[in-house]
Amino acid sequence: MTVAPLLIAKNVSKCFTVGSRFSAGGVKVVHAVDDVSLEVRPGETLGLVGESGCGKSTLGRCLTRLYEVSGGEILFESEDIARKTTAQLRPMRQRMQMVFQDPYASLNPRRRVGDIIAEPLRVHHADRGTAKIAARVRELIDLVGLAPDHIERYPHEFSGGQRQRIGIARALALEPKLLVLDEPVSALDVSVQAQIVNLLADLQERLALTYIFIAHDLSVVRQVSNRVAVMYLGSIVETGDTEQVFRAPQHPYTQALISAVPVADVRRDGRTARIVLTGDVPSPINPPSGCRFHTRCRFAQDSCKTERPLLTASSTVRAVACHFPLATPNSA
Amino acid sequence: MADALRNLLEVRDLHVAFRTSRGKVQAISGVSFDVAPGEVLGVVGESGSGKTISLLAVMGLITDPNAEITGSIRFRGKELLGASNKELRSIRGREIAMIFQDPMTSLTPVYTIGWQIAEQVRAHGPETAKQARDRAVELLTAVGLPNPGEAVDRYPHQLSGGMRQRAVIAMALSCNPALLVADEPTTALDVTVQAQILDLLARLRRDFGSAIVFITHDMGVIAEIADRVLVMYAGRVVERANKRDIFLEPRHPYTHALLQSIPPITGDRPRRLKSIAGTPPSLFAMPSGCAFGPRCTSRVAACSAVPGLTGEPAHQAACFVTGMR
Amino acid sequence: MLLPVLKRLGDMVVAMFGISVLVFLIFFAIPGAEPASRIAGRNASPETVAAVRLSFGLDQPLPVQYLIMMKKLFITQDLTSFVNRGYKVIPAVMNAAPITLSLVAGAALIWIVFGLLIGVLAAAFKNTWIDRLLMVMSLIGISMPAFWLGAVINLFTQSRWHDYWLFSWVPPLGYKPFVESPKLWALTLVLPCFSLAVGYIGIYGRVLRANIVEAMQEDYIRTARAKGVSESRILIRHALRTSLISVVTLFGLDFGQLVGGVAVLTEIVFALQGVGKITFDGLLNLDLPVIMAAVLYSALFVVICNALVDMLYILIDPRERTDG
Repeated sequence: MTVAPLLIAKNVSKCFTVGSRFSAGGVKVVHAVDDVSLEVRPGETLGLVGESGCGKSTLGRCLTRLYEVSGGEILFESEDIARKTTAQLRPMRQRMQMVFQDPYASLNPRRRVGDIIAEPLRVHHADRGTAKIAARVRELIDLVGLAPDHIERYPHEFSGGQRQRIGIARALALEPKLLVLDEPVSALDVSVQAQIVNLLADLQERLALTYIFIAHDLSVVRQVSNRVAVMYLGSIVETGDTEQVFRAPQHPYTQALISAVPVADVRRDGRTARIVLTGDVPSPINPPSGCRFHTRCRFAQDSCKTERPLLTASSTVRAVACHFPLATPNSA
Repeated sequence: MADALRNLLEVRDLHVAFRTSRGKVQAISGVSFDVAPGEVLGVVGESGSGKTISLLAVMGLITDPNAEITGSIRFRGKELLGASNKELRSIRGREIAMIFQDPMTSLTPVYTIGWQIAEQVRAHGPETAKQARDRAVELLTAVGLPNPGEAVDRYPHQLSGGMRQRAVIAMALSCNPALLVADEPTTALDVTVQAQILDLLARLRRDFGSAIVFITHDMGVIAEIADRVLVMYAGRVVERANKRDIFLEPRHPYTHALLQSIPPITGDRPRRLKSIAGTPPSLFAMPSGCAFGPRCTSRVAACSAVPGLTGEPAHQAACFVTGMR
Repeated sequence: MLLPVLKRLGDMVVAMFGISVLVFLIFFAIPGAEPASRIAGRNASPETVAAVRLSFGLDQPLPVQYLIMMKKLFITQDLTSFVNRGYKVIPAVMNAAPITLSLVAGAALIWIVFGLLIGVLAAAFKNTWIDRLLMVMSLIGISMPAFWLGAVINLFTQSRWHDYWLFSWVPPLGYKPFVESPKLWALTLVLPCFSLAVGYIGIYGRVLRANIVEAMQEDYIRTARAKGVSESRILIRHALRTSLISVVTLFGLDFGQLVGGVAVLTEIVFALQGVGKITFDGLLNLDLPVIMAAVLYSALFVVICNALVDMLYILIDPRERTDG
């Protein structure tokens, strides 16, 4: 229990400005990530879930410093990366890598697969020599389940699943400790999705990797994560052990989110437990006061409209940002 | 003739091919299915399985001059394939309506949603502009758009994805169509909004009595909404049965594997997901014989030929190994 | 609705101020020859140079010089040429402006009408002989320089076949103000406008065709077909309507430029004393006051046209009208 976290985010915020002086509405500030704190322990998978616009991808990019944070600290192996210069970040970049959703867009179409995978090696280990880099590329290709003759081909010759394997191989080239996976399987067909999910699990075991797995698909997140953090409008509303959160959600939003997933099972009547939220996610430009979920919450009270609930730990690993958390059935 | 009365739509032996610079590509091969009045037929398959193209063919919406479409598509006993543009137009939107996947792009950006609904109403009826507008407000109310009197004058970009999809559904329902074709209508939406739209479709099905062909890749959505299911793979129907049989007694190895590869949302988590090896075939490189053969774990020698659908009429599968049951 | 319009007007004023400062600095503050002798022209006498220095306040600080210049340009409007003694610059530009405006507006009308016609027809009959014929004709139109076309037209209508019944209506070259004779005004402009428009007809026809063809691939066109809307209505009300947005951008740029003097070759060929011609003469004589006035005038037109286009956008593209 006393293993030091690999990554700690403390009160991370990220604001974007949208529009310009010339656009009709003028400049507006979007609080994409709002005061988020989390910890990732070595070897675990933390799932970040939420609907579009909840800030999960932005948070992932802040954690790897692809975006500058607007506030807060990010400690990676006890070093604050939020305030490092680009040059200081370079050695850290080797230890944290990102895999993106769209395997079509994130690979340069004019370069051979071997070159794409070798690129981070050439940038960071120029001293290694061509032969060694080529050997490492073959090793990586094998690791992600591609064939050696794929090295000479171009991205367009591959299917979506294979391209995602290439993206993973590239991310693994520098032997990172942490992979931030941003919707890595959402663009893939169901049958291929399962292959990639399994591949990620195998790699984690073999290479002792730590994952932050960002996805909107709850069943995929449930499958891969040890712990989950549920986001709504830029904040984490609930976090905890995956089994616990899915079995007995404490935040009304988590409950509604899980119940909304259509279940591929005809034996149980899926509609019995369905909680259908009314309305849409409010705009992060002008978020509701108090609890951000109060506009759609079944249990909202007057205090929810004015006081913002903070993420409080209800047990050692569990935390929920709600004034009136749902009771956990003891029998469960 | 009894069949023609019982079924709203009868598709028989539909083939769609495209002439391309790399040769002729067979997108759909011998697809047959029926839709009875008021039922929900789920069409499930992965990208490239031909599920969308077969329904676009039904709607007469394949405009590519390089497309070759053969077979028979009968709607209320009337042959649609080869019907004149004018005849098709009078059916499209009035008797068969369609909802598309992406509500962001399926509405014309420069007109209000009220205008776009009124356009459809007036294309098929004698309504005046005023009447058509009132009808639009009425429809927007029916699909649960908040404040419909004001929403009718909104442009698509002023609405959220869920609201836009409601507007598209309102438009589709404007002429009380007997058949609604919904092509992945919830795929682009968030899961809580998807739940709203699925509820809405279930309610509208009761209120309007339209039959629905629901195209999706999501078995969960199928379990939720369909009565009968058509499973497609590589341009062919590989299994068709009622929903219960598809989920509880799948016969085709593909259906079986597809169900296995979905991570469960409740219950125990499997240590590993059962995945299907390989990838769906490209239209340019179709395997000979059973298209699923190269990925199939039950493959036998007979699979080098193309299997036809076999089994009792209520549950058929195209597989030499398991289809004969 | 009103707020964005006001904002754009504000932007316009800011842009004009910036341009005037820039133009001023280019002529008055660039190191090298003294501005006074440049304004005075080649081989000017010392007295002339001294008069220029006094007239433009050149012994005073730069901001004061700028204000004097602006006053001469816009308030007293008594900017005079020293190269061409007694030549009042502002009235000359003001007299030239309606000529250029008439020419360009007439040409614009022609190219919009025919450009639309060609674009829509070609898109409607995509990949048929009609489409191919129209596109080849457009390409020919684009390839013909306007001044060459003008010269050829003059050759036929003014000299060779002028007495032939077909061209007997063509008045002599030059410009007749509208107030003097609307009929002659129109007649003198027909051929210049046409020769200026031909290239633009080709460009607009091709751009519009490409835009419509692209728009026809959009999802909302499929939706419209699924609604049972007729093909012609889809083409005009949906595809053309959304395609117009990019054409309006193009139009704003082209129109502003032409009015600002880019139609100079056409003006010269048809002996029209337009803004382009005046600028051209000013450049030949290195007459700085004329060049400055003409440059600012052109800039003003480009800026106004851009502002008009922005406002037109608000009309035709509801997405520009964001209100939150």
